[in-house]
Amino acid sequence: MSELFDPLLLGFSVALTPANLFWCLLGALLGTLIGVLPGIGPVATIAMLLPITFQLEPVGALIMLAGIYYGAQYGGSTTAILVNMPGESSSVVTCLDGFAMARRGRAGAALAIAALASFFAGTVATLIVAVASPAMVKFAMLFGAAEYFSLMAFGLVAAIVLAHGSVAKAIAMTVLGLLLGLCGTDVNSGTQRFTFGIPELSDGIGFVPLAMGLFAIAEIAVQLEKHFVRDAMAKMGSLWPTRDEAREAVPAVLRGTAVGSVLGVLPGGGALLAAFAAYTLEKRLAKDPSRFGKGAVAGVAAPESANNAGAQTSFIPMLALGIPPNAVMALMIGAMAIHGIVPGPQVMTREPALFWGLVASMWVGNLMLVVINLPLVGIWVRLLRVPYRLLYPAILVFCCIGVYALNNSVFEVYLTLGFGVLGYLFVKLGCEPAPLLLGFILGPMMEENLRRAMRLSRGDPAIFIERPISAALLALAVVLLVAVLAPSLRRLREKAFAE
Amino acid sequence: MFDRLNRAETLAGLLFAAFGAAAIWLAADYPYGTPTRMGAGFVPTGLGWGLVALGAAIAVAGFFARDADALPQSDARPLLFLLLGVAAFALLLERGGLVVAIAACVAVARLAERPYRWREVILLGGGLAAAGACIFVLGLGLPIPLVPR
Amino acid sequence: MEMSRRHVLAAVAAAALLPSAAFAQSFPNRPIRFVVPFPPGGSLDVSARAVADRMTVLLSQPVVVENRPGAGGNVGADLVAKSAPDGYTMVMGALSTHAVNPHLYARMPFDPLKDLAPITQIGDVPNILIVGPSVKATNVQELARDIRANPKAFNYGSGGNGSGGHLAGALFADRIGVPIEHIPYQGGAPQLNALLSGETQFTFDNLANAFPQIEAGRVRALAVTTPQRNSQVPNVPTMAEAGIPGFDISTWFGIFVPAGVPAEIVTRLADAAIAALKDPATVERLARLAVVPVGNTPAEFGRFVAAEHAKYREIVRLSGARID
Repeated sequence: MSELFDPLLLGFSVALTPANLFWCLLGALLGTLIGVLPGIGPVATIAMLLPITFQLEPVGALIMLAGIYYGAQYGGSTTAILVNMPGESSSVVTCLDGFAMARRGRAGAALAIAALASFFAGTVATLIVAVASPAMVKFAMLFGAAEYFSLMAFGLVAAIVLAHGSVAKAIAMTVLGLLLGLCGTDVNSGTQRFTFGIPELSDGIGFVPLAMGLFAIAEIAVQLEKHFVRDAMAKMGSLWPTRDEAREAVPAVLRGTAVGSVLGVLPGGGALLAAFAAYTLEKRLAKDPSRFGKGAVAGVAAPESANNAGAQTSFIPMLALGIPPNAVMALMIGAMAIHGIVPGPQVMTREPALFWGLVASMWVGNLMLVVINLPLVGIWVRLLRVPYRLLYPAILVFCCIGVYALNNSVFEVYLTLGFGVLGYLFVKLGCEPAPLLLGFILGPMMEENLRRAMRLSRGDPAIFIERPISAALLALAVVLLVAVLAPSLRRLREKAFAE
Repeated sequence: MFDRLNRAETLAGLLFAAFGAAAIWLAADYPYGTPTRMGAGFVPTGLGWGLVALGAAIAVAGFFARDADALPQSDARPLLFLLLGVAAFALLLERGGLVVAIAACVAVARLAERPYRWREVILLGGGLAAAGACIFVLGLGLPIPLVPR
Repeated sequence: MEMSRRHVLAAVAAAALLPSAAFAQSFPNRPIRFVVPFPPGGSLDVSARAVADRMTVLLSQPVVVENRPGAGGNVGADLVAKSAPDGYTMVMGALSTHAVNPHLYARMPFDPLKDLAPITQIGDVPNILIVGPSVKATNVQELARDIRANPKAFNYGSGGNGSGGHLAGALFADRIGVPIEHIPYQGGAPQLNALLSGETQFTFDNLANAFPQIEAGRVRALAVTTPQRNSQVPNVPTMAEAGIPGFDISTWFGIFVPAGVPAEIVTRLADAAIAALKDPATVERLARLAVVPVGNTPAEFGRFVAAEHAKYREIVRLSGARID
C-alpha cells in the first residue's frame, strides 16, 4: 500500500503549499467562468496564458492550466441545465435531461447532482491516473483505425438511442449530422467539400454556431411562441435532490464514472463519446426509458460523471506517453517542454514531485470546484425567476458574443442564425437535434478512420471483423441497433399498412 | 391530399430527402475513388443516398399513416424578431462596436415578446451592453471593438 | 493573446491620427499582431510565444500571438499578406506556407514570395527517421532492404497530406526505389501513436515530437534529415552518412510581414527578432523545444526561402500529394 501512499503523500505536500493552492484555485475559477460563458473554451484561454507561465514554477504552471481545463467542464453544465445552451460539446447530453429537469422546477437539484457527480467522478478518475496509468495506456494502444471506426459506429447507434421520438427520424438526423460534419477540407485528399468557396468554411462548420443555433435560438423561439407559463421553473421547490432523486443518481454516477474513465483515455473526443455512451447505457438499463428526455435524474448524473471522469483520464496519454490526446494537452506539453521537462514515461520517475503534485492537485481542484459550485446553485436558480422577457434577450446577447469571440468572425454569427432557423424547423417537424450533433462530431472521425483502415488493409474490409476489439464493438453496435429498431419497425409497418 | 402532405412526418421526410439530394449533387464534383482508395466524394455520396432513402421512407410512411399529427400551429413572429436581432448584432458589431450592437440586438429581439415597454427595453439594453463590455472586453480581454472606430 | 488585441484596436484608432512620417521613427507605438497560422501547441506555436515574449521587451510594445489555423497555414498567411504593410502585422511563415503549399494547392490565395517579405528565420526543427517497436532494422540500409523484400508490410505515417513527414517519406521511397503506402493522420500526435501501436512501421517526425519516445526507448531513431548531426541525438547519423545523400528536409519557420513595409521598419523588426534569438533564456527555451535557432538577415532569409520554394517543386511532385 505504501507504494501508492508515499507518492500521494508527496503529491499532497506539493499541491497543498499556499502558492500551488492559489494557482489551483485561480485555474478552477477561471475555468468555471469560461465554462459558463458560451464560445470561449479552455484552448484559447490556456494559449493566452502560456507565456505568463514561463515565469512560474513548472508545477504551479501546470496545476493552474489543468485547473482551467477541468474547471471548464463544471461550468459548461450550468448553462446547459439552466437555459439549454451547451457551451461545450460534452454538455450537449446534459442539455437533454438537465434542461428538462429545470423546466419541471428541479433546476437546483439538477445543478447539485451535476456538481456532485462530477466531483465523485473526478475523485475516482484521479485515483485511476495515479495507479493505473500504464495499464490504461496499454489499453489505448490496442486501438487502431479499425477499432476507432467500430467505436464510432457504436457511437452512432448510441445517437439513435438518444432520441425519444421516432427512430427513423433519429437515424435521418444522425446521417444529416454526418454530412454536415464532412463540410471543410478532407484530411485524406485535401479536397474542399461543401464549402461553397467560403474561406471560413474551409475548416468545417464550427460546433458552437451549430449547437447555439439548434439548441439555444430554436428553444427561445419556441418558448416565446408558446407564451409558455414559466411558473414551474420559477417555483423551484427544494434546491437539493430529494431522497428518490439521490437514489436514482447513485448507480448512474457509478456507471458513468466507469464508462468515462475508460473512454477518456482514447485520443480524439474520448470524453465526449463517454458522455453519450453513459447516457445511452442508462437509458437502456432504465425501467422506464420513456422518462429520458423529460427530466430523468440518471440522464444528468451519468453524462456529467462520464465527461468529468473522461477529462481527468485524458491526462493519462499525456503523462504516461508524452502524446497529447487533444489540443489542451498539446499546450500542456508545450508548457512542460519550455520548463525543460521531457514529457513521457520518465516524468513519473525523474520528476516525482511534479507528477504526483499535479495528480494530487487535480483532486484538490475538484474539491474546490464542488465547494465553489454548490453555494452558487442557489444564485443560478434565482436567475430563472427573472421574467422571460428580460432573460431571453440576455441569453441571445451572450450567445452572439460567444459565437463571435470564437474566431473573431461575424460569419459565424450569421451561421448561428441559419442554424437557428433549421433548429426551429426541426422542433416543428418533431426532429430532435441531439443525434444530429453526435453525427456531426463523429462523422469526420469516422470517415477518416474508415478510409485509413481500408488503406492499411489494402482494401480488404475483413479488417473490421478480423481484429477482435473492432469485431466486438461492431457486434455490440448491431445488437443495440436491432434492440432499438425491432419495436419501431413493427410500429412503422402497422402504421403503413393500417390504411 | 393537402392535409396529408401538411403533416410533420411527411414534411420532415421531404426535408431530409432534399438535404440528401443536395449532398449527392454537390458531391458529384468530388473524386469518387474506389473502396480501397476512397476519394473525397465516396462517403458524402453514400450518405446522401442513405438520407434520400430514409427521407422518402419517412415521408411515405407519414403520408399513408392513418392518425398522424398535423403540423403544429406556428407563429413566425417571435422567430423573425429573434433572427433580426441576431442579424442586427452581426451587422453592427464591427461597424458600430459592441455597445451599439448589443443595444440594437436587444431592441429588435425584444419585439418578439409582448408587452414592449420602452423604458424597460432601454434599461435592459443598456444593462446588457454594460455587462457585456465589462465581462468580455474589460475582464476577459477579448479583442472586440467597444465603440465605433 | 486576447488581452492585447484589444489594445491593438484602440491603438489603430490612435495611429490613424498620426502623420505617417512620424510613424516610422516612433515604430512601434502600439501592439504588434503576430499571426501563427497553425493551432496552439506544438513547437512552432510555443517558439512563437517565446520569441514574442522577448520581442515585447525589446520593442517596448506587446507582440501578441494570435492563432489563425487552417488550410496548411494558408488562411493565416493570407490574412497577413492582405493586411496593411505597416509592420504591425507579422506572420510565422514556415516550410508549409512558403515552400510546399504553392506546389500542393491547386489554388493559392496569395503568392508567398511576392506578397510577403522576409524578416528573419527563427529556427529549424530537424526531422528524424524513426521506426516502431515491431521493426527489426537498426539502420537505414537494413530498413531499405526489409522494405524491398516485403513492401506490403510497410506503411509510413505522417501528420497529413503534404506535411513534411509525407514529403520526406515519399522522397525516401523514391530513393530506395519502392513505393510505400502513406497513411496520413491529423497532426503529429496521432501519427506517433500509430507508430507506437504498430499501425505504421516508420515515420519522419520532427525531433521535438519524437525525442521523448526516443529517450524512453519506445522507438528507434535511424537517421536525421539535416546535413549535420543534431546535438540532442548525437549518436544518430545523418541520412547522407547512412547512405542516402541529398536528403535535407527540415521544418523551418520564420517571421514575415506584408510586402511593402518600409525598409526602416523591416530593419527595426529584424533587429529585435535577431536580438531575441541571441537572448540566452529564449535560446534555451527554443532548444528545449528541439528548435535550432537561426536569426539571419532579411536578405539571407529571402534567398533561403526562394531556394526552398524551388527545391520542393520536385519533392511535392514525387509525393503525388495535391490539394484542390
